[in-house]
Amino acid sequence: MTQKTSENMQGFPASSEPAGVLREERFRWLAAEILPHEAAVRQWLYRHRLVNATPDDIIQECYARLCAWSPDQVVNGRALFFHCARNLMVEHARKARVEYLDRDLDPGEIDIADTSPPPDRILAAREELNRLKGKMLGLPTLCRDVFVMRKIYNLSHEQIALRLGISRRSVRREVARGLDLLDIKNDGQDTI
Amino acid sequence: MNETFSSMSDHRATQANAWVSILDAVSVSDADRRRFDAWLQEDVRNLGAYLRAQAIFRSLDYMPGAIAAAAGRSAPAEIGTGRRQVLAGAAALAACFSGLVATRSTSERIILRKTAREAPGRFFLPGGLITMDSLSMAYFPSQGHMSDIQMVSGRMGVQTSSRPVRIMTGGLVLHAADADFDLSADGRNISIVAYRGTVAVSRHGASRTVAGPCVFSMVSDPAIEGVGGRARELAKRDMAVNRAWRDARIVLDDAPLRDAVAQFARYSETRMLVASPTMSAQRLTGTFDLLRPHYFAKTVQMLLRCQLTEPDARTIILS
Repeated sequence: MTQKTSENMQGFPASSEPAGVLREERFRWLAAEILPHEAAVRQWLYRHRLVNATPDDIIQECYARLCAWSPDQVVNGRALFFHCARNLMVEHARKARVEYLDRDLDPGEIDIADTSPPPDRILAAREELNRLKGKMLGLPTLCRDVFVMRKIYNLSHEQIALRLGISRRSVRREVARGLDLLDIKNDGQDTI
Repeated sequence: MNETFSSMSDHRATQANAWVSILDAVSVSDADRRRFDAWLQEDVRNLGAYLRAQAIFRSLDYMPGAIAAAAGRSAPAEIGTGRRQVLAGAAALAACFSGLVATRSTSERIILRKTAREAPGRFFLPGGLITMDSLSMAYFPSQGHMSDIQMVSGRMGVQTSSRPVRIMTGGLVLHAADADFDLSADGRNISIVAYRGTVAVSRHGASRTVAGPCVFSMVSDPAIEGVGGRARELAKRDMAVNRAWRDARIVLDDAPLRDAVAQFARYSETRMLVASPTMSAQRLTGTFDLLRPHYFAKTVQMLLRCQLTEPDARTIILS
C-alpha cells in the first residue's frame, strides 16, 4: 500500500519560487479553492463502490496531486478536485483489475460543473469556511483559547504559552487536538 | 478491510495534525524536520493529509497571510485570558519588552458575528452601537466592550460615545471615541467613511487621523510601511446616501440601474437581471427598501417603461 513520493525533500513540487512563498501560496489556495468543495467530493465518493481505497485515501491523494498545480493555472478548483478524485478511483480499481463502466462515473452525474454564477460560488465557499471558523469558537475552553490567540490575534506559540501559563508543548498539543476536533469529515452533516 | 483502511487514514490525519502543530511553532528542531521529511516520504497520502490539515488550519486565519504576518508585529496588548496567570521574573520582564503583558485577568470569549444575505444587524455594546452589514464578518469580545473587535470582511457601522473603540482589520488598528463611521474591508482594500468625530488609524507605529466628514481609502499592503491612503471630503448631501445601508435602504441620486441592482443582490436571495447594457446604464433617483427587490423592480418597470418577468420566485428579469 505504501506509495513513495517523487517530489523534492519536503514533498513539494520542484519550482523556481522560494520554498516559503510557494508553500504559503499553495496552502492558501488549497484552503480557499479546494477545501470548500471537499464535502461535495467526499459525498460523491461515498455514493460509489471504491476498490482498494477509502474516500479518505482518495481525498488525501487528491490533495497531494493538486499541490502540483500552479494556483494561477486553475480556473475551477471544484472541477479539478472532482476530476482528480474520479481518476484516482479508476486507477485504484484498475490496479485490482476492476473496470468501472463509463456510465457509473458519468461526469454529468458528478455535478462537476457548478452552475451557480461566480459570486454565488464564492459566497458559498466563504460560507463553508465561515462555518469552520464558527466551529473553532466552540472548541473546549483551553483549546479554543489557544486557537483564538493563534488564529485571530496572530500570537506565536511562545506568546500563547506565556499568556495562558502553560508550556509550549501544551500549546502544540492543543493545536493538534483542535485540528482533530475540527476535522471536517467528523461533522455529522459531512460538510465543512 | 475497509475499517482497517479507514483507521489508517484517520491515523494519518491525526499525524498530519500533529505535524502542523509542530511546524507552526517559530522554532523547529533539526531532528523534527528530519522526522517530518521521513514521514512525508513514507507515503504520498501523508503529503496529502498534511496539505489538507494545513488548508484547514489556514482557513481559520482571520486575515490574509501576508497581512497577518505584518499585523503580528503589533499584536494586541489587552487580550487577556486568565488561565494560571504565571507571569513572574524573567518571563514577565520579557513579556513587558514585547508588549505582551495581559492586562485583563478574566477569561474572554470571542464571538464570531457573520451575516448572510440579510438585513444589517445591530449590536448594542456598552459605549456604542455596531451595525454589521450583510455578507460581513467580525470577531467580537463577548464581554460587551468595544475594544479588540477584529473586522474580517464586509462592512460595519460604528457609533461610539465617549468610551473608546478599538478595531483591528487588515493589519490596521483603528481607535475612536465619540465618533460615527463606517469601516469596509474587502481583502486588502480598506475604507472608512467618517460622518462625525475622528478616527486614528495606525500601523507599524505610524499613524494618521481621519476626521469626519470624509472618505478615506487605502490598500493595506504589508510591503508598504506606514499608513498611506487617500482622503476626500464627504459632502453633506452624500452623508445620507452613504449611511442609508444601516437602515437597509438605498438612496439613489441619479445613479445607474446596474449599481442599484448590485446593491439589491447583496441583501436578498432574489436575483434581479437586466437584459441590456443600455438599460443597465439608465439612471434613477429615489429611496428604496433593500429588502424589497420586487417593489423596486416594479418601480423601475414603471419609471423606465420596461418589461418585468419573474420566471420563478427568486428571479426578476427587466428587459
